Amino acid sequence: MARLAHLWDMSRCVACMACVIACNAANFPEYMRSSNPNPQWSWLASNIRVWWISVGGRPRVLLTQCMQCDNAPCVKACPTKASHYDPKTGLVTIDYRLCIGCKACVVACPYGARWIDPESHMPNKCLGPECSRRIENGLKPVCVTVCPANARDFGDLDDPESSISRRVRESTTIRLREELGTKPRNIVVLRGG
Amino acid sequence: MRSFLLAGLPIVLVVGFAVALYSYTVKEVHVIPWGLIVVGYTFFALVATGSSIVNSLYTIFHYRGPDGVLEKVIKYGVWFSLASIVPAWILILLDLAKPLAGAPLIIFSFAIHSRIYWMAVLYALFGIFLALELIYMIRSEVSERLRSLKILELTLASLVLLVTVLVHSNLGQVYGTMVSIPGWFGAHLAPLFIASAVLIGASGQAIYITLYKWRDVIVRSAATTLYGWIYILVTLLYVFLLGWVIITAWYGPAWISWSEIVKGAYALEFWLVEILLGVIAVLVLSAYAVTKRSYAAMLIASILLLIAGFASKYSLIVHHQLIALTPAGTPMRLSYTPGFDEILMMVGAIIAYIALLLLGTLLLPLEQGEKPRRLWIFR
Repeated sequence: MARLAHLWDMSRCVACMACVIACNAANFPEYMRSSNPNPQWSWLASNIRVWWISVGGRPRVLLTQCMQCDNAPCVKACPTKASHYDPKTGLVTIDYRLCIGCKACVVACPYGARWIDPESHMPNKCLGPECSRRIENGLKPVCVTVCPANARDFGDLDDPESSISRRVRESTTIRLREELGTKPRNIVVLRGG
Repeated sequence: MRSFLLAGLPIVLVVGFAVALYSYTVKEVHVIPWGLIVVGYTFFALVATGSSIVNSLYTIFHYRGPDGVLEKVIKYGVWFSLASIVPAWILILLDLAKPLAGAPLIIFSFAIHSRIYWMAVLYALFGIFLALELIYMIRSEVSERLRSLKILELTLASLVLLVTVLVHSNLGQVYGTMVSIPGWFGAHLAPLFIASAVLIGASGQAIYITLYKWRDVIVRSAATTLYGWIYILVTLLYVFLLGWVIITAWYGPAWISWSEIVKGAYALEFWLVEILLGVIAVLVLSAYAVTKRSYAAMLIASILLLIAGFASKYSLIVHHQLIALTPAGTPMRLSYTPGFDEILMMVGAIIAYIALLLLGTLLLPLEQGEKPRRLWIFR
């Protein structure tokens, strides 16, 4: 099975938020006109979360989404097995037929990558419905496609010829909060090759 | 008066459920996933299970208490435990997006890696065993055969105690196993929850039993000594455990939120409500209650314990979520005020709870030696 993952290159990212808007438009078009689509994050109905952090006293932007952890706390916390690893893609996925909206997965995620839908009260996360369809059809998620700075990538980490594997080899990378033992697959590039 | 209450309480019960159900329809999303509703659910779950541990003093260890008070009020105690789990169930089910499908989907998923899965299974067992224990107690007043089945009595009581200890230690570890919230950490949350449950459960039980049996001076006096001693011993244990939680937090990442509770934004609430009222005042009042047999002192201590117990659960659940870490590991502060929908749901659950508790008290033969006369178990 492929080990699919996202890559976000913070050295290339210009914080234009095209990925955030694209995620919103593709995965949650019904919320495009809503005045308060994501009250939990006070943000757009998008699976990409924007964090304004301070590094050495300087403000930096950090864009995160579901880290596709190999040891996902959300999967362990889920009382109905609704949050699970997709047997085809290996990605952390929600089966909404089983999900009861207990929010345990939202609390359990140390990356704050899940948000509660204000209408259905169910959790949302990356990949959204449209991006999941794109992956099934061999396409990349919309956030990767629209990025004007080529700061994003998505692919199989186990395939040495994939563009994501090549970029990982040629760059200085980190994975967020590895000390928690969640084994996040998503990669943050600090300095590109 | 009794017939007036029997006619009015079902209406109040329905009103309580209706208010809670209405609040479900206007439910909103808040900045933290687990807010006031989860605090309320945890509080009532601890009332029920803590009261059940106090009952086990009699049902398992055959301790009758001062002047045999436990023997006189044990059925009231078991009914109090059973009724107190109902508001916890109301709150946690209505906090779900799918309240009706919630319990069966959880129980039949066999997601044994999830602490919440075990909560559902253990709650179901807790309710079943407690109901069976109460039915056994009521039926054994009229059935010589049942009364002679001591092994059945002990088995039921043991199952109730086992499930009780498991259910609230597991509840503690619902929080203790979350790596996402630094302040929720370690195995010590399980014993801390057990100690807290005994305090909250005993104080709720003390208020219910002594106010209902207001005219029974012997029960009031004996209950004063019994609950007074429970408060002294378990409060000391609770402070001991809480002290070690805070000391252990100081050495690790959990200090980021515990420091705010001990000496930061929430310090006034912690020291004033949880420590001054919930520990020091309770110890002083309880010591006075047991030495002078002062019912008033015990009653005030009980009320303080309920207030401090609720405040400590609010602090543990809400405040620690408000001081979390970003994915970069930097501190993040959030702001949360309970919403109208959450307050309404709490009010509905409390109304339904009080009505149910009183209705059962009136309908069930809970007096020592009282025989059921109607429909197998009713008085």
